[in-house]
Amino acid sequence: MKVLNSFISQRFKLLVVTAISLLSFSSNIYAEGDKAKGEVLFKANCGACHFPHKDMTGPALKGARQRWIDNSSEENFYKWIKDSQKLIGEGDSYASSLFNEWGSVMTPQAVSDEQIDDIFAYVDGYEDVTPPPPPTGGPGGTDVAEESSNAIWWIIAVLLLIVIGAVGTVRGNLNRVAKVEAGEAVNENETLAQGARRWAWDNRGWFGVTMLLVVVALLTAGMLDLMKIGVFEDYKPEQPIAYSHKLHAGDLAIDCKYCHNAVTKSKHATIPTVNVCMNCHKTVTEGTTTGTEEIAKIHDAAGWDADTKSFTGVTKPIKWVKVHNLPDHVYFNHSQHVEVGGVDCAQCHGDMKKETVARVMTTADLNAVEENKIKFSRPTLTMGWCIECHQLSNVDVAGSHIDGASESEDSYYGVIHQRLMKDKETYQKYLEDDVISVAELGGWECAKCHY
Amino acid sequence: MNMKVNRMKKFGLIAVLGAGSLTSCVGDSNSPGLEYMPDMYRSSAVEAYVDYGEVRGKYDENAQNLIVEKFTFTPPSGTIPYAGNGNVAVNMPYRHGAPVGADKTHGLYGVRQDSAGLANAKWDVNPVPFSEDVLKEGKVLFERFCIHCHGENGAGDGTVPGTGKYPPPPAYDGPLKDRTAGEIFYTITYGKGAMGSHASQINKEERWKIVYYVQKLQGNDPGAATVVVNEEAAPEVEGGADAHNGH
Ligand code: HEC
Ligand code: HEC
Ligand code: HEC
Ligand code: HEC
Ligand code: HEC
Ligand code: HEC
Ligand code: HEC
Repeated sequence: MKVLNSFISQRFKLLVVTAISLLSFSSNIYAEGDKAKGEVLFKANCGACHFPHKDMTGPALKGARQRWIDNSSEENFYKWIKDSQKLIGEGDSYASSLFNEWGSVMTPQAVSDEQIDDIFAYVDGYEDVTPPPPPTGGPGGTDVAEESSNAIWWIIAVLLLIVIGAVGTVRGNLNRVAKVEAGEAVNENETLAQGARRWAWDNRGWFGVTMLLVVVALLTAGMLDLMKIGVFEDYKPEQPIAYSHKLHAGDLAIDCKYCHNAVTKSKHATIPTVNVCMNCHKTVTEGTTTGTEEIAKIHDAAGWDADTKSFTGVTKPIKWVKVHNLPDHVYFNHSQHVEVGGVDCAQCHGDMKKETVARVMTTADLNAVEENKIKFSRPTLTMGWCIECHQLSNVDVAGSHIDGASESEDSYYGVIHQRLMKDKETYQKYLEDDVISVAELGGWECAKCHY
Repeated sequence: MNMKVNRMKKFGLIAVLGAGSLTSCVGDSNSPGLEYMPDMYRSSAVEAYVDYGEVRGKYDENAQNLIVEKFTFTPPSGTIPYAGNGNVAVNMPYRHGAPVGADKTHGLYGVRQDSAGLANAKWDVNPVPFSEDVLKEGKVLFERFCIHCHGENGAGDGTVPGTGKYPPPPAYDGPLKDRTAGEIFYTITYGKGAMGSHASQINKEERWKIVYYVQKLQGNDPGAATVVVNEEAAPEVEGGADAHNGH
């Protein structure tokens, strides 16, 4: 009997040891749960408030089971998850200390014990796989490169001039020596300027032609540059935060109007206030390329204290630099174009999903967007640009008509547009081509834009 | 003859200098470019987003203070207009206060707090009469303001939680299936947990339209919900009577 007993207990021990070593392969000695199931359950039920590896609305869950075993009991651990308030009511000291520390109520979770084991199999085996930020890069890198390449060109130009000058002097001196040797008269008192003039006169044929060409070329270049006065294409000022449209509007696919939300309602598209950033950046505290540095500026502006995880009430404005800017004597309204006219952002602002901070797109950028129906020839944000588009865009007169409505029920513009379409005689001049452009409806009248 | 050469040289020099100085300004992406006489791009009146009160290099202190005051955390109150459709129930100020501590947790500085806010909001009736068109508008708005977190079907699988850096919200047709219209409205208005308040971005009428679409994603009948709720509470709310007759 004794032998048998010891035999059993021997085997039992062995079993336990193998079981433990097997389980510890999945780096978890308690839960015999299924990681894959656990991941699904975690994301569906707990993910809104918990991360496995760091604190959020609730504490990091990695190692929570051990904390309960150390401070209370494993039984209470399951109880807590199923109904935390009840456990606090029962007077468990660890439970009430948790509640006091975190201050918010963990809603009772409808999960079974096995499901909890699954969840913690996933949580305790979780490895944080955020890639470390790459060592170089960051905003401004490309600008510096461009500037230095500019400087190199200038240096090369100066060096070339020096070489030309040196060769010229040597040649002049040699010539003089040759002349002296041939016994010709040399004007020793000739100044440099006189020499140059004489040389030009001696070679007046090709010298004149070259000079003419040079002057014409420079004047053309100058004229082209003068045409750029008041044209702000490619203006892309540095912004106070290295915010990226490519990341947010492109990769994260956030709608333009989530941030620029007044665009359908008012003149201004508006730059998002910092609370809009905080909708996500309360929890997203680290970026892939800039780490915590740039996002900390958002927290600073919003008055968010990342350590205590609460708003302090001390706020600061973020001074975004305005990129697109029309003079005060022009009236431009976004809702007129976006909501009423149905014009897409890309038609005027190009493909912002590929840009970091905003830039005034060039005409070429706008025309490069395939979906853009209107191809411009005038520089962006000039009067010619507005006018050109008003000539090429048509007003959807049929769209404002309420289907099947009689004249008295139709919308205000619906009535006017119906009259336009029916009364061909009066409005013949508009309807020659059966379309009504914005220009024909007054989009070219000075007072529509200047008042 | 001398004269001629001289003039040509001067001309050349001016052209070279002129062209050089022009290109040097235009090439810098941090400078907007050249302006021929100040053309009202910078006006002395404070314009939205322009220069923050700077006029020709000088800062007006009053303007600065005004800007710090006005442009800080949320848009100045009243910038989101009441829906101008005459629906009184939509236009009335929202009765329920924010959850206690919302200034600390959600940055709702200066917003009235009420510990019973959510409980009272629970049986609020959607004041926007239901129709298929309203549901469609709700869908458009949902796809603009919620889809990147909650996902196309409200399953919590949007692109933002997809990065692993943002918590996935629970599924509408899962743990959130029983949330009433009033609770959904309350959440959009004041936020909850990781979700921020969206009141500065979406006006009340739009929020109610989104509520209908969320109810559809919950797998509930958005049209019917009005009636059920209506029988339990607040029959005096406008629009409720119509909906009742309809069923
Ligand atoms: C609504 C948000 C919320 C959800 C959803 C939630 N929790 Fe919690 N949880 C909390 C909060 C907040 C705390 C901190 C204690 C408190 O304030 O009540 C907490 C604490 C805990 C603790 C104690 C942690 C410790 O350090 O001892 C465990 C364990 C836990 N949660 C597990 C879960 C599990 C498992 C799920 C999913 C089935 C879940 N929670 C879902 C909010 C939540
Ligand atoms: C018809 C052309 C056009 C369309 C379409 C258009 N914009 Fe604009 N946008 C402009 C012009 C012009 C300005 C400069 C306005 C000024 O300085 O008064 C501007 C300025 C802006 C600004 C700067 C802040 C402000 O409000 O002045 C933002 C942000 C903006 N646009 C975003 C958008 C978004 C988002 C869309 C699409 C929903 C859009 N725009 C559609 C032409 C357009
Ligand atoms: C809908 C959610 C959302 C909103 C709103 C949002 N962000 Fe982000 N942002 C993210 C996410 C997610 C990341 C992390 C992406 C990554 O690194 O993979 C991020 C990253 C960043 C980064 C770091 C980028 C990097 O790669 O280092 C900056 C800076 C940033 N955001 C600025 C802003 C600003 C400024 C606003 C407000 C105008 C804003 N964000 C609004 C979701 C959001
Ligand atoms: C996460 C919020 C967010 C989203 C989404 C977003 N933007 Fe922006 N946008 C900003 C911020 C912040 C700025 C100010 C910084 C800057 O100029 O880049 C800005 C600036 C701009 C400007 C220039 C404003 C000026 O000063 O003239 C334009 C134009 C613009 N955005 C267009 C778009 C378009 C088009 C989309 C959609 C493809 C879009 N934005 C999506 C946050 C956002
Ligand atoms: C992409 C094409 C496009 C560009 C560029 C454009 N507009 Fe327009 N604009 C339209 C369309 C389309 C309408 C007509 C909208 C409607 O009522 O259906 C319109 C209408 C208007 C109106 C109202 C006209 C009326 O009859 O009441 C004004 C004012 C206006 N635009 C100003 C401007 C200014 C200023 C600019 C340049 C900064 C500009 N637009 C650039 C397409 C454009
Ligand atoms: C569709 C809108 C629109 C209409 C219509 C329009 N303009 Fe303009 N105008 C503009 C814009 C935009 C600018 C600013 C261009 C810039 O910033 O480079 C401008 C600038 C000007 C300027 C100043 C030129 C300068 O160099 O700054 C004058 C003068 C002017 N417009 C006269 C007129 C006259 C006269 C008419 C009627 C025949 C007219 N405009 C119709 C949009 C319009
Ligand atoms: C920035 C990401 C984000 C956006 C945008 C967002 N939500 Fe949420 N939402 C969340 C998260 C995260 C939760 C889980 C919050 C928690 O329980 O802690 C949530 C929870 C909810 C809930 C359940 C609240 C409850 O009672 O438990 C509802 C309803 C909801 N969201 C509706 C919406 C609607 C409608 C929109 C669009 C107007 C929206 N959300 C936009 C992230 C977001």
